[in-house]
Amino acid sequence: MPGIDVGDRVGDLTFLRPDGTAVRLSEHPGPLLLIFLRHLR
Amino acid sequence: MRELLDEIRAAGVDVLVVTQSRPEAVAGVSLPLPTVCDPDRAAYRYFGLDRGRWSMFLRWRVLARYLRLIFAGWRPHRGEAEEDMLQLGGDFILSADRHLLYAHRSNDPADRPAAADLLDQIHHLPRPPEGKA
Repeated sequence: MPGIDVGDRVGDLTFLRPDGTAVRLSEHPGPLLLIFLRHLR
Repeated sequence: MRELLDEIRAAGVDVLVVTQSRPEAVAGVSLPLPTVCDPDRAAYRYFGLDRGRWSMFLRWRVLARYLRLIFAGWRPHRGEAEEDMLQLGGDFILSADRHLLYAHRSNDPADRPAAADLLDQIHHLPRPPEGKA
């Protein structure tokens, strides 16, 4: 599956908080470690 | 785990966990890290995270990982409704100006970067000039 590469600029993705409200990646300024889980538990 | 997180944060890096679960499923779970939901898996696709095959669960290292988890008290379950059991995870480090600095896309459920590798990457992040942090 293609995806962005190291060095590419990452778009301002939108996620949902556990309360259902939207949160954008840009709301987390500074360096960020993103951990994508396979499943919640 | 706690020491690893402390060291990551001490280096000025935030941690954000992404799950494919729906917000309702996450709301009732006690999580040690800020967690956001991507139930349509758009971000998973954006970062190039594949779906595995059922046969990946038969790999020795995957079986060994699940056995270790079971001995530690975890119990297998089917997952939350609408979760894709074959979806693979990954770990990514983004710079402050939102460029991708590091990417690890898992090949199977046991394939995650070693803590030491993540810390090494974090300790070598480009730093902003003095006074601009």
